[in-house]
Amino acid sequence: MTLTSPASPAVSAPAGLLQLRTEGLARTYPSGDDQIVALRPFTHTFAPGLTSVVGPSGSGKSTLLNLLAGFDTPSAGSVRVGSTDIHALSEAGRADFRLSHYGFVFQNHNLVAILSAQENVEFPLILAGVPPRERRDRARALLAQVGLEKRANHLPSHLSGGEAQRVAVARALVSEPDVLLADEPTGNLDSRTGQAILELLLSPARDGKTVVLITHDPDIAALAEHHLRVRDGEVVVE
Amino acid sequence: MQRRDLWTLARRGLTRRPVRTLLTTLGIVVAVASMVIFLSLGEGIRKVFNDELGGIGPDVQVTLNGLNQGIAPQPNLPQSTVADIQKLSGQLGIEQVTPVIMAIRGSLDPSQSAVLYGLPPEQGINAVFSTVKLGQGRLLQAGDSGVAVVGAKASVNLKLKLGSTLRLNRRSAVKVVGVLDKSGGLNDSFIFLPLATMQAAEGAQNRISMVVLKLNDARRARPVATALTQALKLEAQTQADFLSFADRALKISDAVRFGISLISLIVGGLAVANTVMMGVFERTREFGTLRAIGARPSFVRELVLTESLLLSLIGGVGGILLGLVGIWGVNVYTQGLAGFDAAALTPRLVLLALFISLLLGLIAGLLPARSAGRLSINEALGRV
Repeated sequence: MTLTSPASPAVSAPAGLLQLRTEGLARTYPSGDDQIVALRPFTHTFAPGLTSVVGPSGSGKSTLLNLLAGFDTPSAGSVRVGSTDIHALSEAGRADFRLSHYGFVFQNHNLVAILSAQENVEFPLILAGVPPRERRDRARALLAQVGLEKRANHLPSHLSGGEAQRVAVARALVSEPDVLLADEPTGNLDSRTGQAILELLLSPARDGKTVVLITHDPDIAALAEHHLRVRDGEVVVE
Repeated sequence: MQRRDLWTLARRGLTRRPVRTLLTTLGIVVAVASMVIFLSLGEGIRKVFNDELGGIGPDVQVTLNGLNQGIAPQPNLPQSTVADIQKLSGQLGIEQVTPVIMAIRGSLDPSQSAVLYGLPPEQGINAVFSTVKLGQGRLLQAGDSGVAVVGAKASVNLKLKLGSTLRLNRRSAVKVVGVLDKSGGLNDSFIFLPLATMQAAEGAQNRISMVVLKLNDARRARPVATALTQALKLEAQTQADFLSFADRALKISDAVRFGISLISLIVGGLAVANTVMMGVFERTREFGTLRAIGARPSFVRELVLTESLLLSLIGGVGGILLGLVGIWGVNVYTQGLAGFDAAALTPRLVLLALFISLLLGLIAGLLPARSAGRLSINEALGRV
């Protein structure tokens, strides 16, 4: 069923957590005199827990995630987190909003090469101006949670792919975001390591946070409670 | 985000490519050092003038064309000017009138150069240079002819001792009868001669370079100079005029030397811009990640600008230290040459060097910082 209309079923986030909603969200790109439709109008309220987004390459999954994250500007519609329309914010305002309410895990770990594992995890807290002692404690606690407390002082170049991705998950979770967006987080990992990363992502989903996971892998998608399929720019709720 | 965290990140960013950072820093070090050395020459000479002119300068000096001819004017003033001034002595409160003829004894080897200074032997050297002290032999005295008293540095450089013969040109020579004590001033390189001896040697009979005047009240130098200028239609300058002239000349010289060093500064600045810009290109994905997780565009701009400023600050401090070594070398040379320190590292020069370094870093970092701040997150992450 497409969700361009009517509105998606009413869902509500646990108390204190903000809900992710799209209203007529669409993206087109000009191509000469034509318009390429990357995402057709899409209205949806993301339920708390894990939502998988599947679809073939070029179907519009990444476009959806870019719009949900505020990395790209929609041609129409809005993305709301709680009552905030993130695309109505200024660039700086959107950055602040991402810092406070979003967590990201990319296909590549995208850690800062000159910072140790712990400093990478601390980084969002540094940006937020959290005092050094508090941010160190929180980063260490998360590194312990992902089983890397002994690798805290290692640079990303000294970590394995799986370890680096676990650090990236810890970084995404350190500011306790309302929304966690993950784009093929296990795409570059073997299945065992990928499973460990998924376990880490399932944990906030179980706590009632909104976790949106883009994946090609049907086995991984099967772990999610909610499912979206994207095909030719159209998002379908399954 | 605390400022300290930003500086730490900038420092780490620069140490990511240590060799490139080191080479860029060396470029700035050399550029700033060359500027410091160039400008220190003006500072040193200015210091010499300010410290010592009071001891060597007359209250008023009268020349044909003023100070435009430099500190050693041609002998183009009729000697009759002395009598003209003497007629006005009582009226203007002039205590002593001394005719002077000057010439530069040049050489390809600067250490062999000296200033020849002719004045009436009966008035003596102290009539103009009140602070000079005799080291060996005697000073000039009435009736002297064909003799010379040499400054300490001229004595060493030209190997002139008591009894030595100094050839002024092919036709004339003088005998050294006295050597002055080292004063640390410009007159250490002077050779003092009787006026008539030098006029004969220069072929300038009845002509002089200038007339120097000592006043009863030195504070009246300005009105006396004005009165003389009007009465004699000549140029009369005070010590203050001379200092102002010297300062003006030094400022022009400063501008020229700064202009020359600007070339190396621009090259250093381009090196910084190149290094920082390459860093931005290399770290596009990283900046995209930082922006994605919540860094504002201004944070990325500040980070890049801080790296640029840090690079130029380190280069600036290194440049000042290297400049200090260069100044020491210059002073060793000029001490040997003329007995004074031609170069000096003054606090204002240190501040100027640091300011220029930081300005360089700021300008060099602006474009890369702007580029980094305007990166699209999507493009930076390769997500398009």
